Amino acid sequence: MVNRIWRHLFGAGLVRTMDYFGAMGGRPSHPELLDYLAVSFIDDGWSIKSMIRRIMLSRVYQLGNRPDPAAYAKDADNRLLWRMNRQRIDSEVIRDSVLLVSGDLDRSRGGHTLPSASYVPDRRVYKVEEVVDEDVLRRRAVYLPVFRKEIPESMDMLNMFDFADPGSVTGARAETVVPTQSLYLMNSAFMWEQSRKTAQRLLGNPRLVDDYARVKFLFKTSLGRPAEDPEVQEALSLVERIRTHGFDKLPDRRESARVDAWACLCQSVLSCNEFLFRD
Amino acid sequence: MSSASSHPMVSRRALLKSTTCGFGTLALSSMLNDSTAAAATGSLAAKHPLLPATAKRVVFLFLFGGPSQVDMYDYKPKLKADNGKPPTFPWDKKELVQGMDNSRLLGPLSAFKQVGESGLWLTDRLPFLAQHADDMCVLKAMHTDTPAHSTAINHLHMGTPVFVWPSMGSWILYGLGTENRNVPGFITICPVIGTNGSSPKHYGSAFLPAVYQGTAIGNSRTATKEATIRHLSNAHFPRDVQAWQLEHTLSLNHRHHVRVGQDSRLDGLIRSFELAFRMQTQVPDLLGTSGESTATLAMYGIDEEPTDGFGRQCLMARRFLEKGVRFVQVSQPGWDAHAGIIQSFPTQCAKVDKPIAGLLADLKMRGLLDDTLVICAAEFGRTPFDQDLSDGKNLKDIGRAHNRHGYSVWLAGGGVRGGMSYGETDEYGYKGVEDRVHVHDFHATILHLLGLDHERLTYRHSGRDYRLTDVHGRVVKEILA
Repeated sequence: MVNRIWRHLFGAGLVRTMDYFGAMGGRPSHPELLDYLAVSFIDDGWSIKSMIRRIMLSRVYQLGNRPDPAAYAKDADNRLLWRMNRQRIDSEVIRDSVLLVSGDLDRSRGGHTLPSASYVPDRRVYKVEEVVDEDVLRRRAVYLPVFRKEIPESMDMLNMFDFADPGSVTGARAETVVPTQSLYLMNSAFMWEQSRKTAQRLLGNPRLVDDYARVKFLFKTSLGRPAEDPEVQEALSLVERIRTHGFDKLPDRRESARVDAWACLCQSVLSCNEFLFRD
Repeated sequence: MSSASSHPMVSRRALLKSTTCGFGTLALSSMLNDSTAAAATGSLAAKHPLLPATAKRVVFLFLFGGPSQVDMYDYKPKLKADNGKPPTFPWDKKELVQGMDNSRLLGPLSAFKQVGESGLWLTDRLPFLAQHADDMCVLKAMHTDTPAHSTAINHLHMGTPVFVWPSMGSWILYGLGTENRNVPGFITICPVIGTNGSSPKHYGSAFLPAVYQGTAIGNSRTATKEATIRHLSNAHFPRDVQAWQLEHTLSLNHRHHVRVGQDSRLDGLIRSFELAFRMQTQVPDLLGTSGESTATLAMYGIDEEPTDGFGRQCLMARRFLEKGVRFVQVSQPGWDAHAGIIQSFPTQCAKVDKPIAGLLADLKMRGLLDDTLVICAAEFGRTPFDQDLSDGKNLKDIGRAHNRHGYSVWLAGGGVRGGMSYGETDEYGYKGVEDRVHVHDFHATILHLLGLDHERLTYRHSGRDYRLTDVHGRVVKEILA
């Protein structure tokens, strides 16, 4: 169990073969640490929360992942934990982060994931899309209903980014990179809708006095760091270019050209590697 | 979490230099203008196989559910003669399921004829396919390990009944790469979803790098006419806007790259955006039927029923193969006839007969059949005796149960000897008795035809080398041309 928690936080377990533990599996990189964690887990009353806190407060969890050629030459695989592993964030986290940036995320806690009316007596009849309440789709992913046989289209993000098959035990999810994911980020209705909401949020916020402040705010909320000056320049020239050479030239889009141009920038930031990976 | 690159730390200066030249812009202009120079690079680059190959690409016709070999390919006069009698031979009672307590032998549902110059036996329900009998090699004594759909489909697609291992297409892509960087190298058209045993893992790459996984076009719930890759086009803004936007994303990624150092996954994501962008222009052209003559459409049975769906799949397969795609799978469900086989058998045959014949004819006309391997297979076959779910109340509604002990699959083109059958089942067509071919042997043979040695095409994962054939497999040399 502590190995699984470790994997969740570090992207790789102390024993790396997640579902093969023991004689058939790989060896732990830090056997004493693994034992210590296991014993503490029992002592703490099997509390997962305490274990997560214990690990997160450690020095090793707080390491960055800057490149270090000397360390890399000795331990490219980072088995000795000289830095934090770079991790593609999970599908649920990508989804929640997008909703958070756009301001669309419902952060309330508790409650039902499905309205009780959806328990139709003949289970062959119901359609997944019909029973999922639209409000639920704005809640944190942990509240999304999971259907064993199929994930509905409204939760496409999960399908695309390696959500675990609900019908099987998955110790470590796949971390795939395929063009269908890029197509999703580039073209899906969800990404465009959320990008437009982000743009409206930037343009409607009275505290963001100019475009410079808007770009700064976008980078801060989505990437968790201030934008560098060249980045601001690049962003602003993208917005300008798309607006004047793109939407302004389309009569039916002229009115919304400003929002749409900003939305294109937001979508770009929400699709970049820095957003999708945890460094 | 390892970075596979052998150049972990490209010098900051070197990278910045390339940045000032405008990496994003360069990459993008090559993306936009380079659709003619379509050779793939990197891990997907076309590779020369180690052995002489007779096939360069594969099209896999998957008949989901298990068609009945004794009605289609495996002619058994004794089964016909003993129709209605209880089976006297020992059969696997572990596989007895509902409605089989009083099973009776069920003779062929339609007449068999000898076709082609080779005189191959075939049901008269496949008249179009019969014209290509001299290209077909029927393996009549196939067998597999499990009698349930999910495990047997796993076995056929991934070489293992229970684990999630790389699919056949991804192994082949891993071994051979692909020839067109604008289109995915492994495509599955209308894969079956939402039924017993169907799963995306059947075109997944499991522990092989993700670039080798299959790309699905539509699924069994969508009409083939509507089948597309999800989110393939942008409905929100014009293409030039998207190009500028993507250029910006690539520039962001590049700055990130410079800050954090090389990482094969970050590279992978960048390349995947580029492929996605190119696919938007290249793939839609291939999806439809544009540029095909009326005669071609008719040959596949397109725009007529019941062949439109599978016909379009087969035509699309040819269009992709022609563009250098390495492995294309098409699927036709509906063969799991536990009941109603008398009614469904002719319809099912009609659905695939013209499309498959059309595909073979078309490949031949374009000179592609010589180096394209066509395989037509299912997870298992059916019993020569019946299954009656109505408990004797409705004898017209009988079916046949699953049979893993002896069933037929066939291959054509790509260096396979045509007009032959290999292997024999017993006199009722239940169990293979001579020259049996296991699914592992089938895989070994397919790889061999592609110039890949199934014992040497390995990938190291969690401490050992894995193969499509695990620790099994024999190349069936007897069927090589």
